[in-house]
Amino acid sequence: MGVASKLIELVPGFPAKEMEEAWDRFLSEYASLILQVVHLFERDQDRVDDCFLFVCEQLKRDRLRRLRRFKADGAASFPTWLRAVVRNLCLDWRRKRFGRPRIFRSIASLPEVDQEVFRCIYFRKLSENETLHTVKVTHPTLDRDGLADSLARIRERLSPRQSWLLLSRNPHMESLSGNAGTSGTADRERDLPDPEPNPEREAAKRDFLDALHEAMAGISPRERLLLRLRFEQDLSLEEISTLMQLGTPLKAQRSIQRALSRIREDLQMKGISSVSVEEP
Amino acid sequence: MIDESEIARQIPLVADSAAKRTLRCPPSTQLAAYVDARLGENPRSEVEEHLADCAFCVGQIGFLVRDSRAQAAVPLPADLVSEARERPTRRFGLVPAPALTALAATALLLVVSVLWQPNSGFGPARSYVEAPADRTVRNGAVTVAPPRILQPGEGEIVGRLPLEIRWSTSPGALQYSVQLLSLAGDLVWEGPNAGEETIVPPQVALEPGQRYYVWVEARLPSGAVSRSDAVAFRVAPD
Repeated sequence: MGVASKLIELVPGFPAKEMEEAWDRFLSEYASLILQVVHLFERDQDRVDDCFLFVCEQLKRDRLRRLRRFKADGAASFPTWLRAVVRNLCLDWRRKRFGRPRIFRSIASLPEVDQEVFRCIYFRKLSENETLHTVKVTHPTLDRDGLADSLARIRERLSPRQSWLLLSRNPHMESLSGNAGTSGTADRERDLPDPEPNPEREAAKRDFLDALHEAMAGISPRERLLLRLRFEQDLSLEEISTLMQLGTPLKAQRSIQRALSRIREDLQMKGISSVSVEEP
Repeated sequence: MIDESEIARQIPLVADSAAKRTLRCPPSTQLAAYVDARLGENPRSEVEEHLADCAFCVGQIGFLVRDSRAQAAVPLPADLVSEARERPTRRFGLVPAPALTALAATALLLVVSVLWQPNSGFGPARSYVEAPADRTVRNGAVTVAPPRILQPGEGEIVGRLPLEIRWSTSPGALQYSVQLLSLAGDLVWEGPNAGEETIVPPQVALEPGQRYYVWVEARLPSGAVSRSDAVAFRVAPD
């Protein structure tokens, strides 16, 4: 907190020399925290360096304006607040670096996680391993099976023409002597679209997700948050009970169970008796 | 019969498709305070209500909790840190020398012209001694009462736009700078002013129902800056 409270004391008109000193002190204490957050976003060393320097530049900008926003007498601790700010900057860096190219309408109607997978595989040309690591930052529940499901959903949506467009745009070059295991020649081969998407299965899946979305809207905001923290953010029951001040993990578990039961009842009332969308 | 574990597996797929930060999102300070369990009951409920429906913020919370689980030490390359230390930012250290000279000359001229008038009310002998020492000003040489926002009032719901801002003056101040910030802390508008009131230009679109902060900085002849407390207000909903 020492460095943080020193930063707070600075006001916009202070001399440049003082700012440099404050910046030096801040970096000595918090550069490792920044790098730690950056490492969660990127593995490639060049990208890590780029992202780290971008974050530092943004924090230093306008005479440390972002850092001076922190209120030393406020409720948040400086390291937690700084992690949040650095995460936002890492997301900004990603957007600046890779942009958000327009995706096909058929893909835009898929869940956010699928859109992220699509961008990684088709725009950034990442391997499945890299995609898993990258998407996990924003969708922590994604695992290998989830990624395979996501890719299947994407392939089902891509028409042959779209697939051709994607393959012909920015062709991915690989060294003949390169390591196929990391760069994903095999991955690329598996990326070939399924020539026969199953429209019935797709429609059933969409109906189910729409109904689930409605059912989620029908439960209380607190219950919704419980479910999101548990199943979207992959937090443990203990973490959730601490965060939402529920007392014990058991209480968190019971509340989650109650919320799931209500959703199940809602779905049954809507005539959805099976979640299995593989066999409509 | 629907299997609840299967429902749970599908929940990530119904997350909002636009996980972007919006003006409705609480500031990072509040999210960090929520994770640190340092919010009172009411702000905590407000944050939770927002989190229930905001993919961006719930992602931020999830990240902060997971990140605090295990902190594997990351080796810190010395050359990278020194590059971050040395690298200039776009707005820092890049003011051309002629511009700096012109600015300094203008400031000097203003100081001289103000001090030259014996009854102007800006004389250092009068104001600096009488001013209440309730706020420390940079450079330590003088202590001056900071300006105070008179309008809008704290917590006021402003119905009439364009927004009018009034403040009490600081003795000896050469100029004032009004800064208007969004709830997220982003600068929405900034305007220099020599008097004690200003009107936010109508082209600065203030969103109905949104909360904003405003403060005024007084530039003193010594080069010091004295800032008012921030005042929060809300623009009336449509």
